[in-house]
Amino acid sequence: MPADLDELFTALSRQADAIPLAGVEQARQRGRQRRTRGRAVLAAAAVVLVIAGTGLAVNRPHPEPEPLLPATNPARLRGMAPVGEPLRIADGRIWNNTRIAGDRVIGFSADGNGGHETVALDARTGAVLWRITGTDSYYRGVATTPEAVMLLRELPEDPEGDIKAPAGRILEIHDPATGAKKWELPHASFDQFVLHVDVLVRLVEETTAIEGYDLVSGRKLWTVPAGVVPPAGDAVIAPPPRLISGMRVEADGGSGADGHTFALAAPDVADAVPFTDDRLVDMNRAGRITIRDIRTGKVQSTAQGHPNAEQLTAYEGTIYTETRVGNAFAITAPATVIYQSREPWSYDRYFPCGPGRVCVPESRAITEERQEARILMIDAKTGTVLRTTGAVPRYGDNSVRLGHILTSGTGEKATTLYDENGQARYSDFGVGGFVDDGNALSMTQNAGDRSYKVRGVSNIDFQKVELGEIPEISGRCDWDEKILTCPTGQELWIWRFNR
Amino acid sequence: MDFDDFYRDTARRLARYAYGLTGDPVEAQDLVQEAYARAWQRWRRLSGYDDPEAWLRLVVNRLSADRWRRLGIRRARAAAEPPPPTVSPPSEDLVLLVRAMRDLPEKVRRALALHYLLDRSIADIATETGATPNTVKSWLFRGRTLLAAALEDTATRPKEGARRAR
Repeated sequence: MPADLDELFTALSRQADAIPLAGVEQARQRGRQRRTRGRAVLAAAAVVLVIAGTGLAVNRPHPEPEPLLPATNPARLRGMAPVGEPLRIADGRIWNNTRIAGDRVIGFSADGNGGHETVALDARTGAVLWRITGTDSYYRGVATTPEAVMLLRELPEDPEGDIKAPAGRILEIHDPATGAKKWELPHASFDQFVLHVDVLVRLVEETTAIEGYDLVSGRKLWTVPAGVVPPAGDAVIAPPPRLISGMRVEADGGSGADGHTFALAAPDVADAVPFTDDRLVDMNRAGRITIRDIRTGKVQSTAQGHPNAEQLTAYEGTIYTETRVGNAFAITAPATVIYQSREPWSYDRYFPCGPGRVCVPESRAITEERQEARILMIDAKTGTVLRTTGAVPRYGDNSVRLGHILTSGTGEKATTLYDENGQARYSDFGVGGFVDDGNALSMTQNAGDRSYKVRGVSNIDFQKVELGEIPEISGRCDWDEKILTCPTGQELWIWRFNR
Repeated sequence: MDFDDFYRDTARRLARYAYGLTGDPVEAQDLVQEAYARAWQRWRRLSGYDDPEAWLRLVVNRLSADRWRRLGIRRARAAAEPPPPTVSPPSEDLVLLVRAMRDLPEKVRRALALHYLLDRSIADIATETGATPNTVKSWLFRGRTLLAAALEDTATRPKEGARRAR
């Protein structure tokens, strides 16, 4: 077989060499356009011609209730139906983003000149509530909370500048009810944010100062000045001088390994889930941890963690960091090393999987033909491995509801739902996540017409229900316990779940 | 070095790399063009780098890494530019290899593409990825075993293999 593989790679090289390339002049032209428009992301280069065929894409919801499956609590997803007609955008444009903000769906489209068109729809009827446009420079996407619509604008890059330097950005905060701009926050691309339901926290990378803003009005609530930053030592890659994290609680659902809100730096690819707990954690390179009231900035308590942390997250009162011990990745809570990666196991991103519990997916090649994966559940106080269960090899996002783990990403299977004993109870090749405590959603692309099959998977009895098929999507979808919304080229769709 | 010369000397290799990462000729074309567009913007600075080609691969890595972002590329490309010339269809074996590559972890796929499509040594890959040579070896071993298993699996299930290939 290895010899066959070598031959196959040789053939793959030949196939790649036959790919026609557009040529240096077109690359230059695209570079000029980027320079002129200050555009930075490939997806936004879209939209000068009509997208053929979008209106012909399939949409076959299954609105009929599934009679055979028993009732669950929360109620099982049994189907979905379109809300109103899909909103079509002008010829030559596509929808890049869609997000839910309370009872509104916000659709976002970057235009060919770097500006944007952003539209709010009534999530119950599909009616257009407001529409705003901007032409200043490149808009990257939209993030939402029930109280705020946030547009991320990237300022034109200095083509002669240092490519490692942070890019200039402006976060525009708009009123979800009217679309009016309430305030804006200029910042740099290396800054970190924690998005709370009422407060926006910014860690200024350049100074390491921390600022808290009222999310709705933009009023600065508090500032924590820069502290003394210990030297980075002899690390090849210097650990960050300061890290911040919100305090995720079990009811919030999501449990990524990063405690800051990455979606405010990349709203086109990530979803901003606001923190509901009022605690903010900050940690400096020396390992000094400070827990503050996120509304006032006042110190509530301090602790000592492991120095030189590269990642910080907090869950239900426990603070975790990722750091390096020698050449190995380690997880600490907060100063005690509770996990250290060891060959031949390969370590993926850890995630809190319950109060005082952290889960670590690992994988390794066990034979020439098989890969093995497992999930370790570790006690955050002692580092004791409480449970080791087999897992479906895959790499990506993780979340937890009712003690059940949902992993979504790439690998042998894309989405897998595990029960409270760590047993895989459902797997498919889709992308998805939890809808509520009782249901998960998975979207699997059809190879032929590139449409998506949408499935609901019960988090109670792990039974699946096919909810419908939707057209090929053109950006990240969003969902809550009531609706699913997706950009599908020139159309913006809302579907309401039937239970 | 002149930008045109740089493009001429490196574009074909970058296309190989992008194709190895994505398994999609249209996406590979687009990634290559986008990487060179970014390079052109910064050419004065980039041309002074020891290995500007590695910078291009870094751009391709970042652009290709996100699953959600990738979903929109075909559509965006179709709207923005005239359709590129088509590529002759690959053999069924290559289709299977490409599909199996797509399911590999990103680091493993990147190591395989560098080693088998660009003939980079283990030491070179270690330098480029910041990993140790042993880690690179384990990525390559793991990649080969997973690919072999995937291809073996389809070979023993010809009907399903044919169905997948369509």
